[in-house]
Amino acid sequence: MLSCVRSYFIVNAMFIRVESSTLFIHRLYASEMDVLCINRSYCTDIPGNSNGNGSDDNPSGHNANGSYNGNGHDHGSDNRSDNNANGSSNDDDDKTYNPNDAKKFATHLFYMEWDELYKLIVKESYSDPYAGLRLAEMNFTNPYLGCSDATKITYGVMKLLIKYIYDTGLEYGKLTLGYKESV
Amino acid sequence: MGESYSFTVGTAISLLDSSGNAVPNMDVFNEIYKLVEKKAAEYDQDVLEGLFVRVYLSRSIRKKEFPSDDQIGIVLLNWILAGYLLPLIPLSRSQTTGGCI
Repeated sequence: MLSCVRSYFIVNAMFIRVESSTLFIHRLYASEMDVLCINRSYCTDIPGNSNGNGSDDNPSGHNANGSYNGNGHDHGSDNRSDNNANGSSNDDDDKTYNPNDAKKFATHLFYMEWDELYKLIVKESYSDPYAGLRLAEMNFTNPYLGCSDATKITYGVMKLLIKYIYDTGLEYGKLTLGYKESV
Repeated sequence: MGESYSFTVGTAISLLDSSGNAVPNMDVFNEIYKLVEKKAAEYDQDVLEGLFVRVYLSRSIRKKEFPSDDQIGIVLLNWILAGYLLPLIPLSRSQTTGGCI
């Protein structure tokens, strides 16, 4: 009987934690300014849940040098102790904002998008049609990249800029962005 | 997919300001993001086979060695963290609230 009651409370506590994480993600994407009031336990849980909910399809990461392992933990700036590790949700009134939590979560979101973009890229190249013009391009594979996916497109453009354009001693430059589609 | 075609979206984005100083990387990032988000509303259902950028310079780029994808990811992440989640916040909200946390 005692173990049944204990299990009931553990399951309830886990449910509350998952609900809280989901709510937090929704609120962040909805750009509510409540992001300033991140509950520490939410942020601690979210990166760890990434492999469970299927949002990160590349748990091993794409890096050979181990700079990213797909869990979103490596790029955090600290290793805080998780005060809520036992599943209790009694710190709901702890609304202090910790910038390191926001950075860790932003890192996790960045690598989710970055990995998805990485899987789509099949070819990157550049050419210099004449002195003073550089054309850098990348091609995607099926299922291609949706025009509405502004974040991944922006990451792709920045990837091209960092890889092929940015250089020391850059004196003058303007860039135009182009899309390749098919009919 | 059928025959592919390419087209330029939006106007040119300058990498230097009117004083001749380099535009901060995060500002370039945000300019591109604004443009892409604007076009996302116009081409909502379309899919991209590829992307390209044309960069006009006063001289040729002599860059011979290119950073790896991992290095690029780290550089880009650092810029984003320096901008404090700005890309995740829709433009309408970011403009009214000051842009970042």
